[in-house]
Amino acid sequence: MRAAFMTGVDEVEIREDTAPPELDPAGAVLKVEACGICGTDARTFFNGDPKAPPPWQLGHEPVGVLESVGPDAVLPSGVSLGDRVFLGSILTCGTCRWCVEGFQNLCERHLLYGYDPYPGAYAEFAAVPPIATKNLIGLPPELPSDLATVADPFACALNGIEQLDVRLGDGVMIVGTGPIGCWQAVMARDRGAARVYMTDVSSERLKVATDAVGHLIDDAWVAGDDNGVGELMTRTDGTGVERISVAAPAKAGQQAALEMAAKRATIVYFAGLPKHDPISPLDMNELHYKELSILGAYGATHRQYRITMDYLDRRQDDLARVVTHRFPLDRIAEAFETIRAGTGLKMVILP
Amino acid sequence: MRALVYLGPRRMELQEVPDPVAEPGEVVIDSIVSAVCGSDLHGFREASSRRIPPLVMGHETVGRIGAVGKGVDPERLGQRVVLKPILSCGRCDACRAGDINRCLEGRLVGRDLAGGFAERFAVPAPAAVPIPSELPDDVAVLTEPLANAEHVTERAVREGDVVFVIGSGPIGALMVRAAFLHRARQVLVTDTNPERLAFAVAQGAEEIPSEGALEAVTTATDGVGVDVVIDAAGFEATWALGLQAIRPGGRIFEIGLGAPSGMVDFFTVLGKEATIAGSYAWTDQDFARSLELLADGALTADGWLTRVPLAAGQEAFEDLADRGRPFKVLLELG
Ligand SMILES: [Zn+2]
Ligand SMILES: [Zn+2]
Ligand SMILES: [Zn+2]
Ligand SMILES: [Zn+2]
Repeated sequence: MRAAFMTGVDEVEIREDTAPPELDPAGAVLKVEACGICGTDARTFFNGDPKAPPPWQLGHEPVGVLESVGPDAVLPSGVSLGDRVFLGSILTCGTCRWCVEGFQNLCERHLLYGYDPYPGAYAEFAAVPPIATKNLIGLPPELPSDLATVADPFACALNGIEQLDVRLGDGVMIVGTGPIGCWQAVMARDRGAARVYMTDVSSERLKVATDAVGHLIDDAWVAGDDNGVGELMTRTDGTGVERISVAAPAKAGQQAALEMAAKRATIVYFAGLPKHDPISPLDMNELHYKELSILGAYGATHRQYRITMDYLDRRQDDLARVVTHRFPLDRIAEAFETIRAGTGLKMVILP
Repeated sequence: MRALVYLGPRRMELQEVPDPVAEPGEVVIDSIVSAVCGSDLHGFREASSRRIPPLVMGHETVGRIGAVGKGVDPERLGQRVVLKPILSCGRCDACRAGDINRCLEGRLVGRDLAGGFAERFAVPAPAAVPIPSELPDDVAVLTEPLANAEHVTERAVREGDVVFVIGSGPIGALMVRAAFLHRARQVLVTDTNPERLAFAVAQGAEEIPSEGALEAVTTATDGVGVDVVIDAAGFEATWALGLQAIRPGGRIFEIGLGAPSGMVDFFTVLGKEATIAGSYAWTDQDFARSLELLADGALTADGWLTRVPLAAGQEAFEDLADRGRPFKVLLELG
């Protein structure tokens, strides 16, 4: 079969004669129809990662048809051989306290599909290891495979929105306009936010984002020297907004959010900071005098994945606009280049 | 081994039955004590589609691991455990959200498979939960019923609430205790059997006589009504009492198995904007917290339990069914 291998930092090779994955008696094999490509893939590709020892097959957002199912495989109820499915990439133990209580995103022993020891799905066929069979989710018949690949980041965006608890009539500020920020803007609007604003430090990224979801938001601007605070204050008579999502891995955005917040506002920090530099100074008087709530959001639970599939199906017209690029497997290098150039939002590989 | 076998309504028999075997992934629990639950009694009193004879009931059990099947850590042999009797599928949406009590394929030990009214029984290894050595059998055996109370009060009771518990059997009395653990300001309790009130009152509740209960609640709350009703009886009369006693905006939790259906005054429900919620069993989280609370000394079993040898099981069931006493029976098995 055809598969894409990362053969070194910034190097990719298409191999036509790769052996198809073997069927584990307790696993399954997927005939891949589409596989998303995300920031994590790009970071691995640009910088290397010890969990992707070259030559390595990346790809952790696959959609495909269940080609074969091992005799001992335990599939989720409603999923069977021949179904079109999405495979959620966070492989959870299923037995720790957090898994058992329904917070699979906080599993104490989670692994990531597409990283050692589980090769990914930039290939015609992909193995579903036994630990991953519980992550298979059936697709609604009308939901295109390329859009379904975004279930992973979309479910994470949904987790952020649930933590943010957007209510009818709220003013919502989205800081960072990557795919997550764009989807959160759509969801905030769907939840009845009266005003939805977006800001980003990159005018290029902001342009791509407003092309995709601009018709659903009230306004967007480039975060300049004041990180976008002033523009928001002029639009809200100096009061700020009730709900702020920081969907950018940036201290400046995290700090600005406190200034953007109205009294008793909620702020969700969605994006992590770089591992080597995680400490961010915050103005605690903003927190104290305005009675703010700052919350974190990470990954997504099984319940959120289930809601996600239905959400993508119902709102595909607006949400699909966030998928800006599609590439066949042999042009995967172009996909990485497009990410590097920052001229797209979400990209999908079609093996 | 000996087992108390349910043969049909009002028929229990002590029988000699084959020893269970630990299949792969299972353990055999050598029972030490098993408590009789209201739902076992419900099964004893009348035929039920949920308890098909012949059946060994019993889902509130403390014992020791006497055998382990393939794949189970042999170090667990001899470990003292409490039974966590809900066996859920683990893969449906309810299970994966942590709501194992809502699993559509869920089974209960002592109802869907042989349970703890026997000297030995086999269960999947995770259903045998280790208990701290200093926790006495008589207290550990209350983990499951307290988890039921925890499942209700964790959702129902907020700081400073006035709570009215209707029905003062063991579950009602545990509701009183759990309501205080959740920082209720005042707990009122009523029962038609005044003897049974003693245990709830010993937990700190204020007695409401069943004659003129509504007037007594009104007086006790200065005419406002209670914030929360926990109906551990579940009859038409108690639904009505709960609705009359609740304050506008209050919350009613139904957990009693008294009657399956009947009249409810929905004008009062909407006029008071009351919330009526059901509660069934518990989640893993409730069970774990219940065990923690007991290990923390949240409850003593003093005077609660009456120990009965397995051989006297049939009579104990008759006493409980006909006279509502003793309060809670503990069958001695090991
Ligand atoms: Zn990803
Ligand atoms: Zn886990
Ligand atoms: Zn019970
Ligand atoms: Zn289930």
